Amino acid sequence: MLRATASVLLVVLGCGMASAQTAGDAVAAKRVLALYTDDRLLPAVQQGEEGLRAGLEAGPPTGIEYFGEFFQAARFPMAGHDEVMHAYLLAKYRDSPPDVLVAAGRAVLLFLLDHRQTLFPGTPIVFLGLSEDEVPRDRLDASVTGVPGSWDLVPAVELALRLQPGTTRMVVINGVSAREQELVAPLREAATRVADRMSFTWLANRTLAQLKTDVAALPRGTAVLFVSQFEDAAGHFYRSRDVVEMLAPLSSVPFYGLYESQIGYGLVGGTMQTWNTVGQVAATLVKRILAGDNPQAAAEGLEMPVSTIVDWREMKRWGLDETRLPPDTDIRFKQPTLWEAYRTQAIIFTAVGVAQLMLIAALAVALQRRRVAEATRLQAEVKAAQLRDELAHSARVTMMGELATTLAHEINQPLAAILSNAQATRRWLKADHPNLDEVRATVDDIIADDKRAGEIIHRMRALMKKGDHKPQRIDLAQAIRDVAALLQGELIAADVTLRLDLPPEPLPVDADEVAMQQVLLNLMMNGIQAMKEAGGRIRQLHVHAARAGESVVVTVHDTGKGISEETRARLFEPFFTTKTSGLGVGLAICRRIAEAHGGRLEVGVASTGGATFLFSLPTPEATS
Amino acid sequence: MTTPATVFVVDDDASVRTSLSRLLRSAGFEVEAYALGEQFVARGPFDGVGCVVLDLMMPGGSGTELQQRLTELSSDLPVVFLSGHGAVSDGVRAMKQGAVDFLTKPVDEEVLLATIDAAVARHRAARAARDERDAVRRRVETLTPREHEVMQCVIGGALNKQIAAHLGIAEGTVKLHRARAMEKMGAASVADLVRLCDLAGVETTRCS
Repeated sequence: MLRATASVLLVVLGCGMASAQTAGDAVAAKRVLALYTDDRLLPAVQQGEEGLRAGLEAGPPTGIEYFGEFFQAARFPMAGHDEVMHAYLLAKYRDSPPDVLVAAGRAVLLFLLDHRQTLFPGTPIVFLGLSEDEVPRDRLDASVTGVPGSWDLVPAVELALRLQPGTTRMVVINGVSAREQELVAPLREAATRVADRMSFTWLANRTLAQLKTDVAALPRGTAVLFVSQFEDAAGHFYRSRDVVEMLAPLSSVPFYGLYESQIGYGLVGGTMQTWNTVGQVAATLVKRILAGDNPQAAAEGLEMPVSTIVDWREMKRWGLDETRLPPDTDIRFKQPTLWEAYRTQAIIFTAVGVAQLMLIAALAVALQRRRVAEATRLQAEVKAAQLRDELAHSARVTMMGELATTLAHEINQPLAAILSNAQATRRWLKADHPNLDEVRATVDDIIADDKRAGEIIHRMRALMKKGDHKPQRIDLAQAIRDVAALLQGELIAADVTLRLDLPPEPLPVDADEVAMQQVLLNLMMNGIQAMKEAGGRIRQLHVHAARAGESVVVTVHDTGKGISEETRARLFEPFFTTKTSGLGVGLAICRRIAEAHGGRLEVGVASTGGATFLFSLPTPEATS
Repeated sequence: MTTPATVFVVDDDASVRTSLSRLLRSAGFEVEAYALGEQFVARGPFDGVGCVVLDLMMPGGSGTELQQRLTELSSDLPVVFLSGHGAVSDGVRAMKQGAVDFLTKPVDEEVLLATIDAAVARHRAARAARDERDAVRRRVETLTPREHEVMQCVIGGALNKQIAAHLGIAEGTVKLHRARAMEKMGAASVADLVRLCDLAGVETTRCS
């Protein structure tokens, strides 16, 4: 596969080389030598050469060989160098003499005419870049031809009137150099042709500083025609475009001009020939001559086309209406909108971009929504959990409040015992022969009682404790015993006997111990209070706990008045209470605790009167 | 040396019961301790001097209920209450029913012992008064009906002549009965006889 591709490539390359060879053999190359007065880097020269070469390459005929020479007359004056250039060109092109010569600029044309006998004698000459009055008609023979350039004032006036209909006066700026002064006469002559529409003020002998002041104070209805400013009245030399660049920003009115090279430096524009066109016209002449036309005949009917060129930025600056421009106006420096420059691409990219953005936005929104929803849900869950914990804690605190009196009694009992034991011991120790056995037994009792008080306080504190309690393996039977111990005082005060019906072996469950104690405490206290309120003679609280299949079931039965049907329905609702004290959240919280542990809390139907509550939890084996 | 007083401790809490018993014994008291009021009641009457220390809050009936029953059983043992939390209402009720004192647990030995001493002293005094009354009554019971009648008239302030007239017997006979009654009662004077009869609850007779 790789080898096959390589072979195809070789074949294609071979074909390309073969065709080039064929072309070289078939056509005898024609040579065109273009001589330029100025430096190759001047914009006017560059554009002119571009136009010329483009015209030559466009064919027919094809295969014209082009050579360019640049005299750089500004740096190396013709007077001192024309012999050098003469010898140089003679030597250089001896073996490949040009078929047509192109003379760009008056100085080069005069040079060729001066050396007509020795340098490429008889070779047709096409001149370019000369205005009509620059053409040395008296020295031309039939082999010299060209289309003179046009630098007319009238089209500029017309453009100004198109764009600014109210304009009545035109200020003409021109320099003081001899070359510039030569331009004045034809311009003044042209001005007379539009005198009915426009009056003119000539600023042809001013310093740059004066011009700066002049242009800044021009009244409405005025426009500036900038011609040239190589040299000002103070004798300073400039490039015209630099002067335009300095003056135009200060001006109170728009600048128009005659030369394409000044476009882009502050002129609104003008109707003028472009250097590119000048080159193209010359190329047309060259090709006609190469095709066998007589040079004079070749120029017949050829005119130097002019075009209106404007600087879009200046149009904008002066608020000029684009629609007033003549058709085919070359609008330069227009920052095309994305739409104009890349209409199709813009549509595609925009569409793709919009689609992507919408997709991204949709995804982002979806993600954000999900995040928000997640965060909200988590927040709500955390808040709910916090609230439940708070409520459970409040319920425990309330319950402990209800228990406070009896719990104080529970703690007080061992404290009382400790005090009496200690004081008895002190008395014995005062005796001559204290009974140390009795002292020892008493101290043991003191220790036991102290521990008993400590345990009660510990249990209380555990129940009062706030915060999250982690489930762990606990013995539910022991939890029942612990709670029963806390309730001792309460049982006595309410004259209730407690019957604990617990198996000898532990009843392991995975649960939060404090929560379990809370549930048991709640159920047992409810029972005690129910019997106290009922005021019956038989007051027995029966707590039974045992394993039943995969559950550990605790039943708490009292011999109170029982629960009415309507109470039963609302029993587990928060803030429902039949008691005068308490929050009424006890059973609601207990049910939630039971359910959170995978268990249940229900009220049973007691056949023998009183109320029965069933509290069940899964065994650790059932949950694992 | 008087016979040692006995303190009856009734408290359901074994620790409290034992520790109180120890303290009281160390202070020289005889102690009988009971977990329940019924057990104490079932013990039967007590002749000696002493007092009861009762826990106010006990299963199977509160302390004040036991006090009530003791009163009903004509026990004259003073009752000292111990309370875990000193509810004023309980204390007031206990005191109205004749409790000697109402102490709050944990109780300091000085306070406890002083209170028990006072209670015992009170019981001792009451027991003495009762003993004298019983003795006087026993003496009254040795009197013949006629001697009793004459004595009633004597403490009523009547003269022998008036008594004779009232009873329809000879004045000499009245004198005889009167002397016999004074002797049997152990009274040195009529004023002494009046005091003894008052103690024994003998009613007076108006002969005039």
